[in-house]
This record gives sequence, structure tokens and C-alpha cells, in this order.
Amino acid sequence: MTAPGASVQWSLEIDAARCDGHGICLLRFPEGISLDEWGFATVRDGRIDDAVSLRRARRVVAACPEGALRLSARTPVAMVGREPRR
Amino acid sequence: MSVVEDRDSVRTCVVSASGALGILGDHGTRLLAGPPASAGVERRSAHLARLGGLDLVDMEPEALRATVRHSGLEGRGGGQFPTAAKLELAATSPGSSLVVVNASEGEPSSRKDRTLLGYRPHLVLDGAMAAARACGAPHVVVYLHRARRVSTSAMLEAIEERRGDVAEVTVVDAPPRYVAGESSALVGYLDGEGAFPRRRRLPVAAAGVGGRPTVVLNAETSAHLGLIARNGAEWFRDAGDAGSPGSSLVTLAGSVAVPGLVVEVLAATTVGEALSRFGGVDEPPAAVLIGGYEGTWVDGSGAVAAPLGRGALAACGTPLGCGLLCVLDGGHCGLRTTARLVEWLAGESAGQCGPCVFGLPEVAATLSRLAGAGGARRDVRRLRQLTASIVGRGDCGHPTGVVGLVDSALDTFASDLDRHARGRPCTAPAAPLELAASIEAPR
Repeated sequence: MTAPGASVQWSLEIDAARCDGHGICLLRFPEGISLDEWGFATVRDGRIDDAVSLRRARRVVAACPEGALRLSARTPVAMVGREPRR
Repeated sequence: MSVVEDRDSVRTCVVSASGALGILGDHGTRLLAGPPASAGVERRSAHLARLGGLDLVDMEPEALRATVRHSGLEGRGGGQFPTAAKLELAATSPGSSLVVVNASEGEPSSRKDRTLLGYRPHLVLDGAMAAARACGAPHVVVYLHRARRVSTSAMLEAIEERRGDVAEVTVVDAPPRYVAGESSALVGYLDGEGAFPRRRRLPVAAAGVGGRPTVVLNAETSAHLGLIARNGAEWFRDAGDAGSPGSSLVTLAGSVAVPGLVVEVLAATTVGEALSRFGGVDEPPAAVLIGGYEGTWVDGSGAVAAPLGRGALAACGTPLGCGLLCVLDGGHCGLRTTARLVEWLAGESAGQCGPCVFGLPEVAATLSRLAGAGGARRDVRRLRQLTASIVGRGDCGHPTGVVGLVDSALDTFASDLDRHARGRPCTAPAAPLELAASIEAPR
């Protein structure tokens, strides 16, 4: 892993199968999370651009009781699962 | 080896309407070439006499991967992902690789994969062996539905006949669920965790079953590999279109002369030409659903003019996917048909992700209300709102695929939708498309 602060693009990702809609992420990181009408979280714009956001994103990852959020040092690979058709 | 082909033609193989494997025409020049259906499954001796042996040990894995890369082969299960990229990733990732031939064919109306297994199992296995050689896999798994007895027994007999292969073959019975054929679900099932799609840290080609690199190939993709290994990349590129080379298997369904007919498209033709020639559909139909039940509705006049090539259709935003073309005639209602499909698809959710579990049933209920007599304009607005909040969500492509179908129905059947939304629906019924996925009537 490259150290934070280097030219790494961090992004916040959600594992939708783990999300149970507790909503704690919205309280902790409202600038990056929204909840859908059923209460399940979506990451608005996963890119984390500065050190302050990175710190807040780390906290929200730790706060999720289901472990559904994570920080990734790269963009997700579209090879997993079926690609959206439209 | 040189192969003479009529590039302007479309090649066919016929499957009976009963759903069992049926008559194989004498017209194929690539995947569907060879003896007619009356000859049944092509035995190893006949297969070798027709195509010659395939000595993979003499081929360097790197050269084989380069050939696949140059061929431009893309996956034929629906994702249209470059096959060479999977092989490359598996070959360069740590651990001994595994090749899986995905013949589960979860699309209810699709017939192409079981047709290949039933008539040309050695071609499918040749491709799997080529893939195994290309990424150094000592093991091949064929993932199929044992309940489809004709195609399964053809495959089992073919495996018994094999000698001197570069990898061992195991057959695994797939669970009868729509999402069980999704590659991460398949890997989960082979790992003993149930066939549920999973978001994975790495692609399954890098770390799949037991953490080993796992190359999942649709049965048609595998069969293409069996020919590419023999005839080379240039030969393969001589069919299809520039965007996505190679011939394609297409299953015709719905209001066609013989639902379940599988045709092999060699050169770029139009959807209309294929429907007229093989479906008995001479006038533009009301609409065509392209690419499977999670595909795209296109209105009839637009569909018949569309080029039937993988690259061209993908560029139009209506990818050929698993190769299914469902024809809707004027006697059936597109909205009712879609409502019926969505209701079934919602029930096929793996039940893991909120937007799929809570969203899809609401989409189905709203669309059903609209398709019946109780719809109103607010239902149309609600559907658009639902599809916008579901698209791109979840750990697999299922919810996105379903709302894509719904959005395309709202666009394609717009004038009909207007009448339904004013409480004056048409009286036409839903098209009787197949909904049960997996069982094949015994022959």
C-alpha cells in the first residue's frame, strides 16, 4: 500500500449486500453519503480529494456496524459481476 | 487451414418449440457446422475427422493468449468482456488457475448454450482446453443444469470420450436461479458459499474459486475459442463486425415461426433480415426485446433496420448480450409483457441488497398497476423515480438490468403508456414468454 498523501486516488466504496440501512454513515459523513427512500446508503461521489476528507472517510468506514464501507486506493474493476447494460 | 464461407449469409440451427434440443440444420459453417440434428451429438471421432485434432501442447501459452487477443473475442454470456483480458489476468495472477465453462444459461428463452452442449460438446471442451492451456489451468469445470438431460448427457458422454487433454474436467450442477450464472455467484457456489453475487476485491480472473485465478467462459465463448485455436485470429475476425468480431449465436423467441430457433450470424446483416429469413416475420413487428430479459426494447421499425452485429448493437445502446431476440407482435401489450417479466425478475433477486429487495417489487407493482386498468400518470412519474434511484445500485448487475428493461419499455411503448395512464388501457394480453428458467423437456 502506498502511504496516504502520495499521489494515490482514494475512493469510498459501498458493499450493497452488507448495508442494512442503519444510517450512521449519513450522520458521520453527510457530504459523501446519501440514503435512498428505503434507507440504504449510496456513496455520492466516492473520490476523496484531501486529507481532511480522508480522515472523515476513515471514521465513517470504522463507524459502519456492518462493515459495508471501505476505502480503496483504486477505482473498482468493472470485471466483477455483469456490467450494466445501458 | 482455410475455411470457405459464404460471408453474406446467416447460418442456422433449428431447435424445436418444445424446448428440448431439436433439429440441427445443415447450414452452419462455424459453431453450427457439421452433421444434421438427426445425427445427434457429434462424437469425438466425427469431431476430429471434421475439424482435425487440436494439439495444444505444441502451442505456447503466450502465443495462444496473443491469438485470442488478436481475435478480439468477447464474452457471449451477456457481459461482452474481452476474453483475452481474463486469460491474461489469470495467467499473471498468483496461484494455479481454474477454467469454468458457464453453460447454466439462466435466460429463460435462450437456447444457444444447451444447443452447443447437446450437439457440439467437443467444440466447447476444445475451447475450455485452449483456455486451460493459455492460463496454465490443470482443471476445467463445466457448470450446467443436470435437469436439462439431453444437453447434460451429451456433455457427460463427450467428457468420457476425451483422451490426452491438458486439463481434467468436472461437471457441476448449477442451482436453478436466474442470478446463479453471474460469475461472482458461480464462484461463490463453487466455493461452497451458495450462488450469490458478491462484490469482490479482485476480479474472479485474478482471485476466484479458493482464491485461485478463475476464468469463467460462457459455453459459446468457449466454442469460439475451440475454433480460434485451430483457425487463428484472422479467420475469426472475418465474421461479425469491426466493433466485435466473430460469428454470433442468436436465439429467436416470442412471435416468431419457431420460438427457440438458434441462428448463427456470420456477417453483418440486419435484425429485420434475420427475423424475416428465420422467424417468418416479414413486416416490422410491434417491438423487439434485444439482449435478454434484462435487455432493451426497441420499436419494430427501428429494430428491423438495426445491424445485427455485436459491436454495432452495443454502440446503439442495445447490446446483443446473450443473443436473445424476443419479438412482440401487435396482438400483445408491451407494457403487460414487461410487467410480467419484471415481476418474475424481481422474484429472482438474490435478496442481498436493499435497492433490489425493496426497489424491484415496488417497480413490479407500479408497472403492473399501469399495465392493468388501475394506472395513472403519477405511476409513470413514480416508475421513472424508482428506476433512477435503483440504476447502478447493488452488488451485481441484476437491479440495473431490470430497471434498464423498464426504462426502455417506458420509452418504446410511450403512446400505449399514455392510454394506460389515462385509465384506458389496451385489451391485448401479455406475450406468453417463458419464465421458468432451467428445465428442459426430455426428448
